[in-house]
Amino acid sequence: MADVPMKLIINCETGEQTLEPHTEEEIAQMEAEAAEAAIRLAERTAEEAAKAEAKASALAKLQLLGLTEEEAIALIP
Amino acid sequence: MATSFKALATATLTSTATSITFSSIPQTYTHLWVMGQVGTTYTTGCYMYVRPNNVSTNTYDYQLIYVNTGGITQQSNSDTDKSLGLVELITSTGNSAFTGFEIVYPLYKSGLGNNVWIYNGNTQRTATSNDNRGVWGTASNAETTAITSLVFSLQYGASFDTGTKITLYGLD
Repeated sequence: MADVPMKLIINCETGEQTLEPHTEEEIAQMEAEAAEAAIRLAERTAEEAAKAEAKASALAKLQLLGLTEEEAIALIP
Repeated sequence: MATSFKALATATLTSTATSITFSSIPQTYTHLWVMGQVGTTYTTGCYMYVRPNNVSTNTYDYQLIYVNTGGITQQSNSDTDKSLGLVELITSTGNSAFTGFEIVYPLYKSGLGNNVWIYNGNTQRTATSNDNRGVWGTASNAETTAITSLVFSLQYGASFDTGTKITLYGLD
C-alpha cells in the first residue's frame, strides 16, 4: 500500500501543529492540478524554444547584413 | 525599519509531509516574511508551490512572474496560466540537499493592495538559465484579499523531507 500523503498544519494563533493525512478529495485535486501543470509547463517550454529559435535566426540575419554580434544583440530585446 | 518584528510560527518537519500550511495568520501586522530551508525526498527536479489562502479562483493561485536575464518574459498571473506558478526550489538534489528561499508579502491585509516577492536562494541567474523570482498582485492585476493562510506544497508525488524548516514572521 502506498504511503498516505500527510499534511502539516500550523495554527499561527495557538501554535498548535497537527500532522494528518490528506483527504481523498485533496489527493484528487492534487492529481488534477499536477496534470494541468505538466501541460502548461510543456506549453511554456515549447514557447520559449520557439522564441529562442526566432531570436537566433534574427541575429544571424542581422550579422549577414554587416552588423557585429554586439550590434545585433543590441537591436533585439 | 520595522518597528515590530515577530516570528509567528515555525514548521519543522520531523517526518515527511506533502504540504505545510500556516493557518489563522494574525491580521495585526503590516507585512509577512517567510524564510525557509526546504528539502525533498524526490530524487529528480522538483518545484514548490505557494498558495495563499489555498484558493484556486483568484490571482493568488500559483501566481508567478517568470523572469530571466532579459527581464520579465512571462507573467503567469492570469487564471488561464495559474498552474505555471512554479517556484523551482529544488533541482535534482535528491534528499541530501536543502534549498533556501525567502518570500515577502508586503501589505498582506485586506484592502492594502498586496504584492509578493519571491527569491529563490538556490538558483543563481546565469546567461542561459532562468531565475526564479516573482511578484504577483501587480498594478494591473491586483489582489487585495487578506492573506489568512499560506499553503506550501511540492509537485505531485513529492514530499518535503525531514529537516525542512519554514518560519513565518510578521512585520510592522
